[in-house]
Amino acid sequence: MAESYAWLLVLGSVLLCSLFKMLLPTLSSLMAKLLQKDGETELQMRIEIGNMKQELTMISMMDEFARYARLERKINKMTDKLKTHVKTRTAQLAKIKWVVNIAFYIVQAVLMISLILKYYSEPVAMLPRKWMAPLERMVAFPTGIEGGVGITCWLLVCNKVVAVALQPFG
Amino acid sequence: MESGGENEQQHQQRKKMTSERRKAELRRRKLLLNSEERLNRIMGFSKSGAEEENLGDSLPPYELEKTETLQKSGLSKRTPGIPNDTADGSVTSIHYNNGTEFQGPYSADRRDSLNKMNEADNDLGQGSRHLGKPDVPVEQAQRAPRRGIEQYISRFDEAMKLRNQLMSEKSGHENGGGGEEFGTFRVFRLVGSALLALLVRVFVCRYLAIFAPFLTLQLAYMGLSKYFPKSEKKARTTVLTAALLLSGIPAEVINHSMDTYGKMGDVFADLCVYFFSFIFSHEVIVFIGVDLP
Repeated sequence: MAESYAWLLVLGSVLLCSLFKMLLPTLSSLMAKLLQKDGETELQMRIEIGNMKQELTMISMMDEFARYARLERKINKMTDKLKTHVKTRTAQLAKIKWVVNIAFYIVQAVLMISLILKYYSEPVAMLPRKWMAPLERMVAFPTGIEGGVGITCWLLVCNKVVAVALQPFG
Repeated sequence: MESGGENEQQHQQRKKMTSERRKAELRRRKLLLNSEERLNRIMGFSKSGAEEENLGDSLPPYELEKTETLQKSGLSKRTPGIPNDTADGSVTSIHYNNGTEFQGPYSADRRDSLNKMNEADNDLGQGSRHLGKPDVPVEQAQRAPRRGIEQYISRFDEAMKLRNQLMSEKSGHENGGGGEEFGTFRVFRLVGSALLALLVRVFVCRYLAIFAPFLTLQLAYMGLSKYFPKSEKKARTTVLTAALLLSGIPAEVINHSMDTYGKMGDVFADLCVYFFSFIFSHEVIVFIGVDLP
C-alpha cells in the first residue's frame, strides 16, 4: 500500500527542482565569477582607455600631430585588445551557463525517473475508489490499484501547481 | 516648263512623304493605343483560338517582337516601382518597402493582372502548340516564375508584417514587463477551485465523486467570465504561429485555435489545483486524525 509521505516526497522534489531552475541564472553567473579571475584586467584596460581618451582631447591635432596619432593608435590597439577580451569572456560565460543548464536538466531527469521507478507499482496516496469515479483508472496509472493516486498523475499535478504558484516570482 | 515639271515632281514626292509619314504615325499610334488588346490577343484572352492562330500567322516576327517590347515597356510604365532592365532582358521594378529595397518584376497591386495572365496560360498552352513559335515556350517559361514570384511577394509581405509585429511586441514586453498573465479572473478561478476542493473534502465526498462539483464549478466560471474585466489578450506570436501563418493558414483560424487552446489550458490548471488541494486537505485531515469519511 501507499507509503504515508510518498506524496510529500514527490511534491518536495518537484518544488526543489522548480526553485533550483529559478536560481539557475544566478548560479551560472556566480560560477563564472569564480572561474574567470581576470575581471580586474578588463577593468584596468577600461580605465586606461578612458585616461588615454581624456589625454587625447587635450592634445591639439594640428600642433602635435605625431603625438596625437601615436596616442590614437595606442587607444585603438587597447580597444581591440579589450574587445577580444570581452568576447572570450562572454563566450566562456555562455559555455558555463550551458553546462550548468545541461547538468541541471540531467539531474532533474534522473530524479524524476528514479521517483517513477520507485513508485511505479505503488500509489503515492490512497483514497476510496468511488471518490475518483469515473477517472479512477487514469488517476491510478500505472499502479492499476483502484482508488490509488499513481506517480504520473501526481507528478503532473505537482508540476502544474508549483509552476502556477511560482509564476509571480519568476 | 521643265522647272514647272520638276516642281510638280517635287510636290508629288513631298505629298508621298507626308502621306507615308502620316501612315507611319497612324500605325504607331494604333500600336500604342491597342497595346493592351494586342497583349490580350497574344496571351489568348480572346474567345476563339483561331484568332490567336491568325494573329500569330498574320503578324510577321518583327511585328511580334515589336508588340512584345511595347507591352513590356507599357507594363513597366504601369508599375509604380522604378523600372529596371535586367541583364536577361526581362523588366523588373524596384520597390521600397519598410525602408528596404527589393527588386521584383511586379508590385503587389498588379496581382490581378498577373492572375488573369496566369489563367490565360492554360488557354495559351494549347494555342502555343498550334502556333509552333519559338517565342511562346519562352513566354510560358517566364509565366511560371512569375507565379512563383507572386507567391514569394505575398509571403514576403506577410513575413515583413510578422517581423514588425514581433518587434512591437518585444518592445511592449520590455516596457510592460509581462505581468499580465495573472489576470483577476484567473486568480479567482484558482482560488475558487482550491476552496471548492476543501469544501468537497469536508462535506460532499461521501455523497458524490469529486469531479462532479468541479464540472459544476467550470460551468459557473463560463457564465461568470463575462462579469470580469477582460484583460487585453495580445496575439502572442510564437514560432509556431509564425510558421502556421507563413504556411497559408488564415490568421483568424490561428487566433481562434489559440483562444480555444488557452481556455483548455485554464481548465486544466483549475483541475490540477482542485485535485492537489483535495489530496493535500485529505492528507492533512488524516495526519491530524480528524474523524471524517
